[in-house]
Amino acid sequence: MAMKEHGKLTERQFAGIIANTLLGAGTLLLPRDITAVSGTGAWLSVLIGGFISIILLLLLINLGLRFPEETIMEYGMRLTNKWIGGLIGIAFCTYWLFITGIVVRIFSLMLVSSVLLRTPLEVIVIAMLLTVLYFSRSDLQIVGRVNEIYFVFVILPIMYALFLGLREINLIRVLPLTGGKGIMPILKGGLKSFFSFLGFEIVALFIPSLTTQKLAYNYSLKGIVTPLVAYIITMIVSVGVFGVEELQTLVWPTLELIKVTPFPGLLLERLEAVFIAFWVVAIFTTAANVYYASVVGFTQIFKLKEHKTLTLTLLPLAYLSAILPDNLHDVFEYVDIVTKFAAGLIITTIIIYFAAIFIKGRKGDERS
Amino acid sequence: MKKKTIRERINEILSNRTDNPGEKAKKEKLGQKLKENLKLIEDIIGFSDDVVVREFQLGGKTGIEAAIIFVDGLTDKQVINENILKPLLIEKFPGDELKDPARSDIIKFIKDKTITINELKIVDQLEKVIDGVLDGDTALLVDGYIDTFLLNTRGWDKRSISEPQSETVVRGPRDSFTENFRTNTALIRRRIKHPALRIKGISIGKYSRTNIAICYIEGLTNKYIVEEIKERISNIDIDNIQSSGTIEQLIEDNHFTPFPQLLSTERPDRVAANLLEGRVAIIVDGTPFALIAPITISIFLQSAEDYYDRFIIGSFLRVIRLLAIIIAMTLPALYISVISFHPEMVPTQLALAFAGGRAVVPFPAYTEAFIMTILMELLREASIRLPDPVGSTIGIVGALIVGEAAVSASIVSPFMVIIVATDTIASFAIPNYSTAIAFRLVKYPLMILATIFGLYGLVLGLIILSIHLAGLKSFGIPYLTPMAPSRLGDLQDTVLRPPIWSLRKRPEHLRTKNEKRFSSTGDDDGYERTR
Repeated sequence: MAMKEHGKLTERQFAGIIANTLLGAGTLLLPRDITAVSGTGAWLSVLIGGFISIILLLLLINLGLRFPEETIMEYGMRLTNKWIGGLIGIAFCTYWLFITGIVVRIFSLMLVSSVLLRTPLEVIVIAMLLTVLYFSRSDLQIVGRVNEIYFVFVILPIMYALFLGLREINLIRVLPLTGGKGIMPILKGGLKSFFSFLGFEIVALFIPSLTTQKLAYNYSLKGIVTPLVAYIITMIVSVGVFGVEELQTLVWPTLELIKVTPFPGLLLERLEAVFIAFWVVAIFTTAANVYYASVVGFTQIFKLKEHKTLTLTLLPLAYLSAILPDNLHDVFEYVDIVTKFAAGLIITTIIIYFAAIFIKGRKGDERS
Repeated sequence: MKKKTIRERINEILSNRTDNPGEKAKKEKLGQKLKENLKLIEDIIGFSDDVVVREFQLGGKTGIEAAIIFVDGLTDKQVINENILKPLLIEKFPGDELKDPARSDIIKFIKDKTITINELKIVDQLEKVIDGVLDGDTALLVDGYIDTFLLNTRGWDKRSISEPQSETVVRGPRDSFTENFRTNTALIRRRIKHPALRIKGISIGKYSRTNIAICYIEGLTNKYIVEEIKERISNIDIDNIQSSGTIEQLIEDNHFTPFPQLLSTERPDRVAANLLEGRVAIIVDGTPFALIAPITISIFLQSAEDYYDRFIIGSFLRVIRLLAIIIAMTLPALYISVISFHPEMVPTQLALAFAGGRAVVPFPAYTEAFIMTILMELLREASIRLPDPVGSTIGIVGALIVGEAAVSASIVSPFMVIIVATDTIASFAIPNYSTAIAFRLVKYPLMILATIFGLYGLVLGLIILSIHLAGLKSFGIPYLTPMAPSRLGDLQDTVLRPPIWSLRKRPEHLRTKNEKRFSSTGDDDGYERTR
């Protein structure tokens, strides 16, 4: 298939794809959602969520490296059979489509409530999805390059804002570091924080295209640890600035964080519009990468020649999933369901495929 | 007599009609009779007035008929008189050998003992004779011989080397290319006196027969790039090429983009520097601009002068240029989005001043912005086309109308004038003309997006732009190269201009065969290696 020629993706681009995919809507919601469950121990929850994701990511890469010429869709269908493998693949792709919509929706909600007060939500969603459409028509090489450039644009502003926020922290609000409610809330928060790490599984599609597959572990770790660190700092800073109780009353805690942080001596008085501008990039990379993965996944399941055929076809579905929830509350419920579904899907997939390898031996390697 | 079918008659008529002189020159052959040859050549050239045929007899008493043919205006007549006609008419030809059947000795005699022209060719194909004559050579035909001399007597009026018009520098060489092909190749040769410099000629254009030279450094430039460029150029099938711009459009990778994928420059020093970085230069006869390929996005920031000033100054200038690009591309769009969507972004007093200035303006901010930018485009275009004395009038009219009248008539606000003026100045600060135009063009879609979505639209527009740029290639090399795919070694010479001593290697992405710029590490001389 046209998509997975060896050497189309450098390792740095690979890491960039992981980091950009993860950093997105997560930063917007994370502080309130997790602190609601695990209080001041929220950063531990994020750490746990990140840890689980890292393990799953490494397992996925281990799986992928056993079949250096095939993507998860292809070896999945060969390892089990057309139906089980196909079904798993379709489950993944559909859920990616869904994520695309949800991420765009969350961001559009924030835009509508903060800067584009009079623009209809649908128009904002459509504008973003059209940009995603333009992106998804590109070749994998271009996807890699775009991610490589945007990595800087995504990570630097977030870090800048957070480090400025560090000055406003009141340590009393951060303590106790363990949350003081025992281990269960923290674990629950860990599952909840898993949403912010979703998207790492798209790497299973890109492993065969890597230039140096040996470096996949190394660079995927770099790719996932960056957002993990960013999230933990976000947690600590937002808890330190607002405190757990006040966080619950804020709809967009990270945005509020930027609003209350003074920016010394700049031309612009209020920087949230500028940060939202950078956030557009962060959201775009998440939505675009996941949508791209979905398109490519479907292409491989149905053994189509070119992924461009599907880009336009699948876009209405992404749009539907974006406008399906009625309001922010609905969105959060969807997010919860998706998070659980994704966790289950990824774990079952890994178990099934490893079991299949165990039963069949390493037949996959011989063919390639 | 057999009656001809209609088909045969049509074919006959058609075959008679294809009396294309070019085709005919290929088909016909030179004979031994001088008269017939002359008639053939005159017939093909079509008795044009500027073609001069001078018949004479070789010197002495031999009585051998001969003739020279040349194009008046393309040739140096003094050379023809002094170095061709004079020796041929005066020299005593060995009469005895005339009776000798091996008469080709006369040709040898002329070549070895008579003519004092440094470059001559002996050809026996009609096509070559005609091509040579049209290129400025003088053809010498001798009765009884197929062999014809092509004597290099090229010389025509040409502009002398002058200062570059579009790439002026304060500190640096002041010579620039001219319309004359040989002058241009000589300018490069003068700057790279190494035997590894290759200048390979090719002629393109069915009618214009334009000479094109592909220059590279043997043993340094990546072979594949050279081959690719040669192939693309020789695949060109077109009747007319008058400028390197035409070549550029015919061999570039992506056509649907405003961004240049070949650098066109009129500075020999820049060509030489790029050749030694591992790029290839294309010189087109009749154009004072050389093309350089492959290029990446970093040329947007580069000017020839960067490397002549100290590195701190060079780096500073590059940062300024980056700023210029950002301003030229986004400033009007930014203004529209701040005024229409995010007035809270700017300090309150500035926002009040904006509002105060705009209070009397009847249009929304975007209409105002479009009016002013389009007015500015008109001014620019007008001032380029007009002759100098009238051009300055345009400046005054523009300044008065745009600066004064428009504001006092409340069509635009004073801030808008500042914005558009800054934008225009910034676009002049972009060192490369075709790049500046590209960004000037990109400005408009961004303004439209900002009108609809504010800052959000502006960022979406920039995202689309960057996806577009990521998809571009220049001769197989990704356009965004030092950044994506990232080459850390090349990144240092993009936004900043590092000290010369730290640029130890040629750009990685060009995959040169000889990476080191300094010979202290030995084995630097590409020439030695290729031998």
